[in-house]
Amino acid sequence: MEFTNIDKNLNNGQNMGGIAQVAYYCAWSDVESWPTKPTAPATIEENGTLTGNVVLKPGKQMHEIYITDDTGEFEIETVGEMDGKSFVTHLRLFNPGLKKKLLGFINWAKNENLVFIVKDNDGQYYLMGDDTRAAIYNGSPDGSGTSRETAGRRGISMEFTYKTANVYTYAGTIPLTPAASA
Amino acid sequence: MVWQEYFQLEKLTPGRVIVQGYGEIDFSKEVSPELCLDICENTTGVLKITEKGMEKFYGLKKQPEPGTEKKRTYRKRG
Repeated sequence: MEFTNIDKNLNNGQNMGGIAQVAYYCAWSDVESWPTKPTAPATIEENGTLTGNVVLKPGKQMHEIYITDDTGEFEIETVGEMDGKSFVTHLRLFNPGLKKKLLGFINWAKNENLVFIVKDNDGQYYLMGDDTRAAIYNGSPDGSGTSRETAGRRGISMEFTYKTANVYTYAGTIPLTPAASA
Repeated sequence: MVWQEYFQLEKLTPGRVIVQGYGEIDFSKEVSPELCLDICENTTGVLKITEKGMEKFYGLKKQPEPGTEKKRTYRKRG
C-alpha cells in the first residue's frame, strides 16, 4: 500500500458536524450481496472505502427513517484490548410523534438484524452491516414516550450499533425501489 | 421512456435510487440519456448500456457473430 501525508483535507473548508435528517434501513436478511472490503489496497484512501453496492433480494428495497434535526449522530467507537482493536459504530436518532407507524417500526426492529446507511453532513455515507454482522437495536439513549412537560416532545430515541473490524465509507447506491428479479 | 432505449437498470426496477455523486434519481420517470451515460461511465452496478446506446453514444454497431452473416449469392449469367 502506498502511504501519503494525512493533511487537513477539508473540501472547500467544509467540516460541519452531524448527519442528514434521513437514514436508510432494511432487514439484514433482505440483502443479496454486499460491497467488498479492500483486500490489497493500492493507496491509503482505497483502504478506507467499500467497493460496489448493497444489492437487495428481488422485491426488497431500502426505506427511509426521518431524524429530528440535531438528534442524529454517527459515532465510531474504538473497542478491544491490545492486538484486538476493532470498532463499534453507533447510529443515534430521534423520531417524533409516537404514532402507530413508529411504534410498529420499533416493535419490529428491537430484536431484528438490520442494515443502515447513514449520510453525514459532508455528504459521506457509512454502511452499518456486512455479510457477517448486522446492525442491532441497542435501546433509547435519550428516552422514549410522551415527555413530562408540555414543552417537551413525544417520540422515540433510538440507538443502533454495528461491530466491525474496520470502518469504511460507502460509495454505492441506495435502492429506494424494489430490486428486480435476476 | 427514451433513456430505456439506451440503458438498462442493473438489478433494479425503475424507481427511486440514490446514486452517490448524482443524488436521488427517479428512473420511473424520464431521465436525460446524457445523465444516464455519465452514471454508466462513472459508477458500477446501476446502469448497463444497450446495443442501441453503444451505437448512439459511441458509434459502435454490434458486429454479427462469425458465420451468422448473410452470404450473398450470385447467379451465373445466362
